[in-house]
Amino acid sequence: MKGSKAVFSLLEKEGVEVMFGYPGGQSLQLYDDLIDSSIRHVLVRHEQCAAHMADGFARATGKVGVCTSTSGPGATNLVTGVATAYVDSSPMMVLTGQVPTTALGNQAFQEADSFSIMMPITKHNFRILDPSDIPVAVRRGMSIASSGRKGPVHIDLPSDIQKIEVPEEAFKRTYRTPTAIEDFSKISEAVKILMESERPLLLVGGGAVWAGAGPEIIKLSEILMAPVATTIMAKGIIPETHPLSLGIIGMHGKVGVRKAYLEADVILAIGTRFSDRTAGAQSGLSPSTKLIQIDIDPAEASKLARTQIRLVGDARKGVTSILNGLSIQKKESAWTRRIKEIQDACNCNINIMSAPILPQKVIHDLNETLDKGAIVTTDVGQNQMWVAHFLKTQNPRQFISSGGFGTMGFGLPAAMGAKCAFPDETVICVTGDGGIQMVFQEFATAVSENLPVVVCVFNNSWLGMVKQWQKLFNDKRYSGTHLSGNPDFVKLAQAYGADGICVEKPSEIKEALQAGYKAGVPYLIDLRIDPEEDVLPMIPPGDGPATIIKGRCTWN
Amino acid sequence: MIIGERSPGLVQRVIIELGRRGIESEKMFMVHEGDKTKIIVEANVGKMNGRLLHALMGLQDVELAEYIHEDYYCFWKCSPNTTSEFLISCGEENPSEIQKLAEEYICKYEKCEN
Repeated sequence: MKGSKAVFSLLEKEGVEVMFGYPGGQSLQLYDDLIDSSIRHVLVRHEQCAAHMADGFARATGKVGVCTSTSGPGATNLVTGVATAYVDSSPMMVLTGQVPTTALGNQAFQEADSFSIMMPITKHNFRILDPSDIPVAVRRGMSIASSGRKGPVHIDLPSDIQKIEVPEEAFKRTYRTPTAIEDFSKISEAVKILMESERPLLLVGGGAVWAGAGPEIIKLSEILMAPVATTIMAKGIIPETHPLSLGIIGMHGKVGVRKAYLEADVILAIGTRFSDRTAGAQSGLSPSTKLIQIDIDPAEASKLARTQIRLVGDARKGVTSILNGLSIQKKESAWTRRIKEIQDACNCNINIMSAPILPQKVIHDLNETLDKGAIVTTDVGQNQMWVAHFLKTQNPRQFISSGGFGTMGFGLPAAMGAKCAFPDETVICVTGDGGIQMVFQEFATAVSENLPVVVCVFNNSWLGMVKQWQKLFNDKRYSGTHLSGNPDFVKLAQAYGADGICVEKPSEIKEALQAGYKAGVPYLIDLRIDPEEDVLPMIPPGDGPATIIKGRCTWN
Repeated sequence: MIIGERSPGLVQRVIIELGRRGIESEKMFMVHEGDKTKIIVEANVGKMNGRLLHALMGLQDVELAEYIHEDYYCFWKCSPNTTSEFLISCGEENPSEIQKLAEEYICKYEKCEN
């Protein structure tokens, strides 16, 4: 079996059903053997979007997303998407063509040192210099991507290697699987602290979603009567209509969540790395607040000097161990009443029917019209934070966003990746007029591959989040943020064979959404939103909770 | 000290990981021993402590990452020609033997007579 055929044969055995990619000179053999493979190929219009689609597929399913490109510019175009997946621990297999081994290092046409370029943004990578190494690289690569703290794995395949026969015995070769580091030795101590706590709070991050720990976390919160704050990566791990759900914490999190976080006496952090945009600023935490942290990555656990109990391992396993140690059901208390009081006091004073359209009105209508199984992806910037703040998710993996890397242009291809996985579910991409123009060409892919996603463009003719920072922190000195000359997005979508509508009145939003859900083709809703609307509340960068800019937030 | 499989990119991965974690390396020594690669790094690890070892152990081909204890001796010498430094001898057992070995090598290099 030739190298390239072996790659597909091994991927098929690993359960891969779809691959997103773009061919080129050094992946010709791969694409030739792809014809005979059962793996569906989605031909993108830019390699970056192949990586985002694979990432969106992975985030929606929990399975490894697969993408491919040719060498040189193809591989470097993948980089942003691979880095996006790496930062959010999304499992991905990245296959790149490479110049023949005889040409390596000679600045051959379309040669880049993809192996080195990908190294800091992948969990692991392989450059195959011998076809005998293909079976182990693919099988081990898939295992690395989907185990422990998940992440992308890259395989660089020189074109001559793709054409050479792989010896039969190479398929029998085994590889070393290091034992995962796990340390739950302090579980009983953690249980004791949680049982004795008067004001426990669960802080949940993306690691809990990847571990599938949702049901256990809900059970734990109900036993402890502990409210649950999530990072945007864990949005939906507990239904946001659940009485113990506080919502998202962070720079643009709810003021009430921050308040509960600061008042808690014990915080159980599950699968979260305390990033600077979420719960990183801890200056406001009382010195007596106890932190218990569960993280699968021992290099993340106890990153904070204040962590009292460090539990290393899978979030689901860790929470289950805690559950097994708990003996009593906590009851209503002063803390639960305080949480209710905080939740009741945390409201936004918004007249959603005002014109021009407020983004909150769009999300309000999404909440009213979306099915339970719908998936919402976002781009990055104001659109992302509005959705994170106001969308009421019911399930983990229902909200997909580039959290750590903050990649503009992520939303549309991620939605298409999710739609590939769940063709019968409604998939919405909420994006801005900046982000959508980075990837608009993928409407061609969406049409040709029959991926009817609904794209809501929050169009305010500005790079809104940057503008907001310039407004708030640079004395309204706007620089490089006005998007003049935006095209007619609806006509542009129609030119690709998609459809759409421009909406300027709040009363027209719901109808437009429902038209999109039923369209049967990719559908763009150009929402002309108020350019003066900011994402608030906001904790200024580097500041603590005392300096929150509240805006329409009525909490006091 | 980091010991890992002799695989392409291991040293590069270690350097990247140290850089990513903001660790300033003063000296680094690498040797292939059979199918293993041994890397010794002299670095200021700041407040990373055990987390750095975990981060290095997290690299796929690394089998062991540990701080070398106090009785591990490394002898370095600066080349008079290139001014670059090179490691003469390393080890944790019989420090006097290692020191003797190091002195012999220095003498060989500098042609001194004992």
